[in-house]
Amino acid sequence: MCGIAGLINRQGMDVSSKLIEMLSLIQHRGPDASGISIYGSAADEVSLRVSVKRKDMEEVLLNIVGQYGTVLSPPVSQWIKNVIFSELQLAIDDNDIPLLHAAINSIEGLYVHSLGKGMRVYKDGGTILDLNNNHKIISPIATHGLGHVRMATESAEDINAAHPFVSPFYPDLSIVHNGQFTNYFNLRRYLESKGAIFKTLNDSEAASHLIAYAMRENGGDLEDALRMAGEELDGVFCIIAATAQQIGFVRDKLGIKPLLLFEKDGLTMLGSEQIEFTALFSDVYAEEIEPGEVRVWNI
Amino acid sequence: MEYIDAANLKSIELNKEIINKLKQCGEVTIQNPHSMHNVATGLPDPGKVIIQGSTGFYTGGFMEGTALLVEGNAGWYAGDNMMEGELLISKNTGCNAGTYLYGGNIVVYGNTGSRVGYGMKGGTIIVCGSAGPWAGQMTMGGKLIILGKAGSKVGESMYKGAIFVRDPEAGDKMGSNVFLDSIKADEEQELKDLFARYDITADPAEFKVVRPMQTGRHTYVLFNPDLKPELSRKMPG
Repeated sequence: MCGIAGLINRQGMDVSSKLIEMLSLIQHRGPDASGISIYGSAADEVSLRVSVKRKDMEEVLLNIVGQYGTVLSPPVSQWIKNVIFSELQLAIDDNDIPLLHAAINSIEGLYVHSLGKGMRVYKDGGTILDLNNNHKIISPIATHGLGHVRMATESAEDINAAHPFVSPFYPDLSIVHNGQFTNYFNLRRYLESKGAIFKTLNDSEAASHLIAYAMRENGGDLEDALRMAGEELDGVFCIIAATAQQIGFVRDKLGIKPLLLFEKDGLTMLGSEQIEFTALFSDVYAEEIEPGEVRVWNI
Repeated sequence: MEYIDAANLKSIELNKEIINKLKQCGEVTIQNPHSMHNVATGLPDPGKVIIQGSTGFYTGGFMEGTALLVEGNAGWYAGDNMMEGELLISKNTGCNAGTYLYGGNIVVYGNTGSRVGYGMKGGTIIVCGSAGPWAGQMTMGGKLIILGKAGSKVGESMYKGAIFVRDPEAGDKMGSNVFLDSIKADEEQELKDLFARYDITADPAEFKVVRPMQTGRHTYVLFNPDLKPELSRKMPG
């Protein structure tokens, strides 16, 4: 089933807490994994969040990072279940970010959860409670973000198969997805021919590579990329995608998977169920998105 | 009047309790439904049930003659496959309200989501607010009345029945295989009676009717269902 959330407040607010509240209200849509991506936190430095399979691989990670940029502070690492999770602050040239992202992902056992300026992805297996307990969410004042609770339907339940997904093609982009793609293997073959490295068997990862690839090719036009995704992806789906400047969504043409929109007091909220919006407003009726619709907001 | 506190009950336990209490006194109020799914589904007897609060999916599905009032919102598939009786929802519902409705009346006093009255075969659905896309899709009978804004593709591929719309833009939002017609005198009277019965302020003369086309792409195999809902009901005793 899966539940998704999107939130925009251009003035800045504690987006992560609000997203977590929204997701708590739709926990029944998926208990297997949860995650949020947060944008616009004040930090100027680039932050890298990466899962590390074995403790000794942290050395490998630092070596790769050293080839592209400078580590500003010692990595904050922690054990979460059976993986180590590292967060590093970097000084790195903007052009090197996609290269570093791809270089880390090319190593078995290392997987980038997010790499960008003022952008962080927190994700974990299990419920929202696990996410909250296992991760210290820094700089919570942000302008926008995405959230997801997952009910695993076709791939492993672990921290890496949680949403949001990012792609080295366009590291700034994160997506959350509710649905299934029936043309996963065709997509995967196509994307691998373009250089994508798949780290999970999750079909949503293919969507993240597809949209990111389109954005790299079209110069960062999210709306165009989502329209293309709506045409190319086969199956039932709602995707919310975010970059530092934009949030947008695409819904499948049959409107099978739910997606709702509610806007009030300068806030824009997207979600799977009406009850989600009661995290911020007491009595709401959110508008249902048209099947096949694509819409994008500039932050 | 009997009361049931649903706070610590599973829906299957709650529904058994409702059936028991309805047999005893004919009127039951449910407290603390906390958006539970499947509330009041499969109620076999007439009587009155009031739910004080919002409900989850499949509220009042398969009811056979009970009058059910939800004082709040209802989730997806409210009144799914209802046979007869009355389902009143004071606020909004999710998608597919009144799907496969066979008989009885459903009134949504707020808005409803997509595919309201999907495949309905009889009965009446009144939506006082707006309806989402594909209202009355593949309808095979009955009346769907939408007072507010209609979504896109109204009446997509409907076979029989009528969809009454007041939205002035409804003509631009119709599905395929339907046309927009004016309302007939007897239909106006029916709507007037329904509005009076359910305390709805609206003038039936303002409505237009979406009806299925009898020609077009289906001409060579026009599906013309001869429905006998009474045969699918339980035998008495």
